[in-house]
Amino acid sequence: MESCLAERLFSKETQSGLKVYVLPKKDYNKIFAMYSTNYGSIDSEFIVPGTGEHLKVPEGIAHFLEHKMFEMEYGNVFDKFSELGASPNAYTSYTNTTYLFSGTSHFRESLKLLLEFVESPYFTEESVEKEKGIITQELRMYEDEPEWQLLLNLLKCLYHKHPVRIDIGGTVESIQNIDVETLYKCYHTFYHPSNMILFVIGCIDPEEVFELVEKNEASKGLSPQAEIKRIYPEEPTTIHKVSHEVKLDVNEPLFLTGFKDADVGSDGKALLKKEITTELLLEIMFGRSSELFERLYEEGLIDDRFSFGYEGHKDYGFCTIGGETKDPEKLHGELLGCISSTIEKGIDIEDFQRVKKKYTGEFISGFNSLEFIATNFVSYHHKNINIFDYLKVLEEITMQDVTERLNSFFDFSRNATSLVIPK
Amino acid sequence: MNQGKLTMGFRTNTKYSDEDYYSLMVYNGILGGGSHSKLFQNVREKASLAYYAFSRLEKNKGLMIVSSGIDFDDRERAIEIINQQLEDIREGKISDYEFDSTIKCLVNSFKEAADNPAMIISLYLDGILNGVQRSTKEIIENLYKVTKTDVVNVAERICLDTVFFLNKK
Repeated sequence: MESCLAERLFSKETQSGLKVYVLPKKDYNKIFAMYSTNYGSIDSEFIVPGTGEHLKVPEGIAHFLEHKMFEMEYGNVFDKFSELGASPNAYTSYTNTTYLFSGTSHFRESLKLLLEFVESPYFTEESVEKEKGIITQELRMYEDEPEWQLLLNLLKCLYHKHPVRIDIGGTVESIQNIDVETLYKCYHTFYHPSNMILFVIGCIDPEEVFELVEKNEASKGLSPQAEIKRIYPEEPTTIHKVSHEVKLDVNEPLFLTGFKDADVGSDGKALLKKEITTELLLEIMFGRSSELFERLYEEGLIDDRFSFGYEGHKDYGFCTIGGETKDPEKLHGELLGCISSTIEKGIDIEDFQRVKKKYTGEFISGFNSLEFIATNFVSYHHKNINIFDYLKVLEEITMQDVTERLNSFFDFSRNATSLVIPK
Repeated sequence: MNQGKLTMGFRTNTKYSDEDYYSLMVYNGILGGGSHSKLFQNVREKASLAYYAFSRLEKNKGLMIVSSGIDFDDRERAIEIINQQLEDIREGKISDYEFDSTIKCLVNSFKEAADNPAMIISLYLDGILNGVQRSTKEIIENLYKVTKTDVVNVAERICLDTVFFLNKK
């Protein structure tokens, strides 16, 4: 285990293939548990195990399914959690759906309840129709958020066909096509324990958790499931569109530019290394301590909402850089100019070392938060990455690594831009 | 604009430093402080009008804000349902489930606060600003003492001040 973090992780895989992880933190008052499936909005096409049916499902169904999971035959499971004084929640991302709770008492009961409700699909026509109304309002809420639209449009520019270009929640139109039968098919395909992980952190004994999970499983008698066949469209490395602009009710233009990663196909440590390397590069060029940030900030071209990031998965990856600006074209030019000159001059070793230290510090301090550990453990796990490898991988990244990535990733032919401008 | 944003501002006439501030916290929890609350159950789950419908206290100013994102055409209906919840509490129509869940949820959040440095600081700051330092232990003890009658009593002092609706052009 990571010595400077002083954490001890306990793990077990059950008969049905569920991976259970427990990280005891006895000095905390609470426990935080996440039950997550490797199924997200990008999994809109797959072969149903058993029947071999090739299914293409309505956009937004993974998210819809997440909402409906809370409904049980006896009512809403939120109520049961409330009675235990626990706070449940859930979220759907492009690649996984996660159900969680945090609580300071009744740990066993809350954990049992988490397993129970996620393992009990219950969908009726009436409740599906009712949920369409709620999710429509959720989608409308996001439609009113300019920054959400900004990113969505950038993804539509970067990707021709890959489902990452579709909003996680789908559209108001697409969710109308969701029905009970399809919900069950998606559930039975992706919610098998072999495709899932349970992560528990806080003041709890690992043996207690393993015992509870195994007892729960024994009462179910699940049959094993073959590997899930997911179907993704062929996506070229080229971008779809160079730019996209919309007019919304904003006071100042919002700008977001991105690069599409042509280097795809790896997960695990290779992906982790690539992710960290790319983030170090972005930090060196555009971070708060960079010469570019200071100059553009002083000039009033950007403000403190200026940010950047990299998102990497097995089959896709992209970075984003942007914020609010009164002159989007000028900002774009400055960013590309900075990349060109960094490629030409090379990276300053002092910047490289400083940024490595920053990321080390940020990661370690993140370990004060149970949510940070759980959320990142789970999302990394779905990419076959062990979060406890992070510090070592970060430490081992060399100047050569960042230089190679700098020269290969920032290809201007794979750059697209999204704009939101005032009406 | 794709969604109407409804915000209702209330004057609670109860200060953070008052002894019955605990009752106000419970009131707010019952009204709109989570998935067990009247707003969540009635505006979102039963009427399907919204994805979010909640209330929160502006504790240092003695205010309470009710917020919900709805279809433009549902404004009157949403306000009607919200007013009904306020009326119900004033009349003591609070179920054991609503009451008990609120207490549990509040107690839980204060216990979790002790795990979080930023929240510990925030609690001390509230104490300094309002001239009354309360430990999480003290807060939790006092929350358990709140009764439904106490909640009805603070409800009677709450007055609607402003309704704001962000509409499309």
